[in-house]
Amino acid sequence: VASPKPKRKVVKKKKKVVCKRVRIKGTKRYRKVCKPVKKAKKKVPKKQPVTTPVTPPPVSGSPTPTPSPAAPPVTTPPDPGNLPPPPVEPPPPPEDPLLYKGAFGVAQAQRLLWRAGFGPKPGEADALAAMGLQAAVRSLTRPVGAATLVGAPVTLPNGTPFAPNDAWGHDHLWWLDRMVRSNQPLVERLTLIFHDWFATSNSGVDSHEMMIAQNELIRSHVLGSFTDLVHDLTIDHAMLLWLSGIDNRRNAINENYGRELMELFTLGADRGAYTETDVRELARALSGWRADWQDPDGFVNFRFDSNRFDSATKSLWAGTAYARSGNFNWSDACSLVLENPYHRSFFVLKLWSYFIPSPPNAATQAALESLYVDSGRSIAAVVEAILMHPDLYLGAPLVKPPAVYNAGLLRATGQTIASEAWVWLGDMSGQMLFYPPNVSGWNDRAWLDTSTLYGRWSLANQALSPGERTSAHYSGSTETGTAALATAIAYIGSPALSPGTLAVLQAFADQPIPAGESQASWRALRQNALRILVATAPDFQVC
Amino acid sequence: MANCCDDFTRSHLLRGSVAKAGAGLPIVEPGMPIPAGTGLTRRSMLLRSAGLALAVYGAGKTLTPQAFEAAVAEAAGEHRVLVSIFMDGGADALSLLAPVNDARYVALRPSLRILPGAGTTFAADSRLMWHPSADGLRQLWDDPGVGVAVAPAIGYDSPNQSHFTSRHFWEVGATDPTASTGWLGRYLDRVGSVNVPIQGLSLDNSLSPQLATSTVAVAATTNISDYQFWARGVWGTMQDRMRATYGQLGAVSSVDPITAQARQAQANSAQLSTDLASVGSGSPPAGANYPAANTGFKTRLQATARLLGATNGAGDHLPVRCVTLGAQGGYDTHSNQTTDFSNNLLATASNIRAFWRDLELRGVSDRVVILVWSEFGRRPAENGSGTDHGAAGNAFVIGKDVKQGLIGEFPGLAAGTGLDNAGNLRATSDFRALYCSLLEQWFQTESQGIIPSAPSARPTLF
Repeated sequence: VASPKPKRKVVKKKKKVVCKRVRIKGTKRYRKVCKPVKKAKKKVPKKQPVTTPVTPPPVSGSPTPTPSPAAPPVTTPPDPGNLPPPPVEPPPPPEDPLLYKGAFGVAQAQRLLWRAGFGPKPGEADALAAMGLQAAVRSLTRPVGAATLVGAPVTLPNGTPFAPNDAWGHDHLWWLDRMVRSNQPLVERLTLIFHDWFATSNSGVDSHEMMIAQNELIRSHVLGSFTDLVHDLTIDHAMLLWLSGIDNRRNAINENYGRELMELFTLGADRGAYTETDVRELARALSGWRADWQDPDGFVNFRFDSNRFDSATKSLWAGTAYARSGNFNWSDACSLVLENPYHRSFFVLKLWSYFIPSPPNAATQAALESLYVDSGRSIAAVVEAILMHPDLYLGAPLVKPPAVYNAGLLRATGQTIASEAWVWLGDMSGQMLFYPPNVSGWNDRAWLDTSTLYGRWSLANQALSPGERTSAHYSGSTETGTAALATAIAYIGSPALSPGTLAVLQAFADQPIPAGESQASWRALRQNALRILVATAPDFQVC
Repeated sequence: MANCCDDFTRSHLLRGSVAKAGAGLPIVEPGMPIPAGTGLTRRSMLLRSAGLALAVYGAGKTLTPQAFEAAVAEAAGEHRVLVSIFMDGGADALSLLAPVNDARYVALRPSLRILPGAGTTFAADSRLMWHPSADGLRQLWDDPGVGVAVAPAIGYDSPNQSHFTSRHFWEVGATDPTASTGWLGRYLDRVGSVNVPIQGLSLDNSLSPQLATSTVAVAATTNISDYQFWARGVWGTMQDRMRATYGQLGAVSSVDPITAQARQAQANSAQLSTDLASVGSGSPPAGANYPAANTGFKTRLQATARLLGATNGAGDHLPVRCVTLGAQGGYDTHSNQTTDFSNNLLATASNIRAFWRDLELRGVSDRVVILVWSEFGRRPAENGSGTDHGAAGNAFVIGKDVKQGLIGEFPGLAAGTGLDNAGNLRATSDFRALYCSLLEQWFQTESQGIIPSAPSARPTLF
């Protein structure tokens, strides 16, 4: 007999979000939609970081703080023998080191759109640049109402029906289409980020329907609270299948979810946040979920069964100042890992790493941790601060994830989804949506190697095919190499290319026509070649 | 535990650490001269000085076709090859070589145990029985023309039960979460050529961290027979020029390390395309007898055999030294272990057997040794339908002249002597010692400088 969802019992900080249950269209499922309460925003420290009381060791791999490029310069004490005249004007207010103060032009807007979305459609970067940094960022982090999908829906050739819940690969197309067409790109990008963070693969779930339901669940929370995201994903059907949640029962405790919840989702490995004993104890708290197998539907009737729940006392973090003990259940388990003092630093650094490829300095890390805690674990609050941070605009570029690269090429060239090829091309370039390679998500180091670069080349080849030039396009005209290069760059959406790249491309475009070639035919070949060289240029794989 | 000081990528955060090149080198700021005699180039220095760890494969510059041919010729030769096959997820040692008559095994595995008589008794230790799906390995064991060394319980002290950390230890050849180059990468750095990416090749969708180097190029592709860059509406002379330009774009210098990584990968891709041009796409030789079921693993092993058998225009074999690939399926059997483990092991073992025959028929098996490994074994006590993460696991070394026998013994399942305090199987051999043996006895190079802090005792493999 199904028992109701157990109430969350662990002591919680005052909630600073309001939530309501909203029925998911066409299903009997509900999802919770949460919005931060306005007064919570007052707590958001935009100025000086607050010192954090607990400072656990850094997340594995986290760096020694380095000076932020935007840190205010150290003032040299004035030479006492040469004192400057007293200031005529009052000193300016202290600079906010977390806020980017430099120019916000088209280049910066392009970078923002690639990091927080899927690159610009024609004209979008200019429009965003005109808004200024803060308004531009807020237009992404504070969207109004439901997302709209702009442009033609998925249309497959030869009358192939589009069947995201059934046909192989159509789940990938379903999401790629949202990435290309949504007018709330940050929501899609964050959904991709948390798909990677809580990486669940259909290879272990075997149900497009459950994977897409999980995707919608993530989407409903990405601008809400991480607390709700963790609780709801823990008992999400795809997750219960993927990490053996329905096999975890009294007297047959299965550690799969409990370990990854701490190692990959909330605390981080090899930093002293938890022990092997904690893995076993947490797994006991997570026990009790089950489902029934029913031919031909697969697993149905997911529910908590108190007969399967290990109701004995569990002890977590034994030997620490924050040791806890009690008859904890799955919901308590989620709350307890989020209250573990190692969680906040893990969350901030991991979220940051999806946007900026260099570590935050200590002050930034501390400020973002405070922001996270004080905002009631608001994801949007931390994302907004990251998107306004100087490091995003002044630091090194980020590798575009393959799905972002793919969606961006389609957006730049004004296309929507009209081919099933994007599925295997996504796989070749290293990112088949709904199929992360394992529970730790995609390995972003693998996104630029000889294997995945070949995938990107193939992907660009497909994206450029509708615009393929022939000699008919060049009949009777003349065109310099410079003009041909300019046309090719504009066709890809006018990305910023380095002088070194431009010089190589210019030299290529300026090569003389071999004897016997027709002018028009040669120019068509040259334009096709230039376009793919631009679309695959190293500068365009990063943003 | 030490935390890395100057290393930041998302992957690194996630996994504790992942192999990458460029780290571990002396820090040189942009503008400073490169230390003489380090063999390092400006690019690797910039990468390092930026404090960003990158999976950059070597620091070579793009070569002209002529210089490239010269580099390949220099590197050509009948190199000894190691093919490293990884059983991803933690393969269950107590199913693969099962102590079927041990009363403790029956008690620990009431529903998952392999029944006596289901497979063939392991000749080197009659307490153990080959899983029936491991029969491909058993056939190699029984074949007098090939040697198989079996580690029934291999691991390391203080076993780590995170997939990602333990796998990393095996990949880098050290129990060091911050190590940055792979153990095979360090070998290639010592003996390889700067601009020959094919010397270290992952026949996978991405480069294995085992191959992460500091200075020499390595590569990954599953597509060795058609790794050619073509574009719609581009052919003839224009295609040649386009391909040359693609490679040239990889040689442009970049200030930032991320774009530099993209350029290096592009340069390596252009080179790999040339390097693989002579590898055909034919069928395996008759008699290899690959299993009928088509799997990605079978396809990739067949490609590996073609690669190792291929010759260039001068009639030399290609300068391959290390190949990595993932075994069929996943072995993280928390649930549904009986079926999943059996199916995946069957595909893995039967294809390895066929791959070995393939190499023999191509006449190259005397140059090749296969290593099969997993990041850990699984918990002896089952959880109902599966097993959780454990400690010691299996490894196999296969080769024509490999000394058949055991690497360490099976420790049994008694608490204390066989199982540790957490109820996990104790290791009786150390993976770092095994690596040292492979380096010293197969590759005939010193292990010092490649495998730090290995136990001094070495298994005799040859």
